[in-house]
Amino acid sequence: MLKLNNGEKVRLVKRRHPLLIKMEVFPLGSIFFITVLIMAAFPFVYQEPEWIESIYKYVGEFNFFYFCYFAITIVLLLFWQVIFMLFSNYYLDCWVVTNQRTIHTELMGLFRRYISSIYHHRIQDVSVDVKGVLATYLNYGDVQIQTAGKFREFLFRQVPDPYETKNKIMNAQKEFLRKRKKR
Amino acid sequence: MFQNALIIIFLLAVILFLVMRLTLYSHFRRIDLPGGVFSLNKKIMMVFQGGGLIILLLALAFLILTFYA
Repeated sequence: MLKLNNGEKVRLVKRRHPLLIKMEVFPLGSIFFITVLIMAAFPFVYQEPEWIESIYKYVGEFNFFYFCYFAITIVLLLFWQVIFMLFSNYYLDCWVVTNQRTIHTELMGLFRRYISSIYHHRIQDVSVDVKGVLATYLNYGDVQIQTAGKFREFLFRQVPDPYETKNKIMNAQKEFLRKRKKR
Repeated sequence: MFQNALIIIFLLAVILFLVMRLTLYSHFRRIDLPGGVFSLNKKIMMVFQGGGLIILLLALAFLILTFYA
């Protein structure tokens, strides 16, 4: 379980730009919605195919109309799970800046989760990388935190307002260092 | 034979849903921070479970109707 230290307060929470998850989920969501519409319209357009009689000889009699509904609902269930997997991946990939450290949680696939944190006194440099037309217009980009020592570099991927994010990290770092000097 | 195949497909879908539900639940349950960082955890799980259960029940109903309607 991820826990904050005593006196630690959350200053900033960042996830990837919401448009990016919408772009991922929209095609699947559209297919899901269209499939539901097809299910609703199916009784009005359904005609039992002639070739179904030949199949009955081999597998026995069954209701082809409801079989189609069964197949569609199974496909819908798969879509439902993929949509939630994508959304969970977005929701659980998170960067939290507190008054003491920066925490990164990332869901890397279904059975792998990565959580790391870096205290502000270890930060050496914060850089911003806004790359591409969409990123420029929508104001999102990568914010990279370079740290002292052998720690892994922190990368805020495709976060909205990267410049503002950088400023807030720097401010949190200044505040942390100021308090540290006072002690 | 055909009936058994459909039942197996349905059971596989149920198992897949349960595995997914368990996995997502363990991810969401083990992560929490004050300040509303992960405030939607419970709602996401409720929507996922609720929607998934409705679809599964529909699939079960259609499976029964396929052979007994």
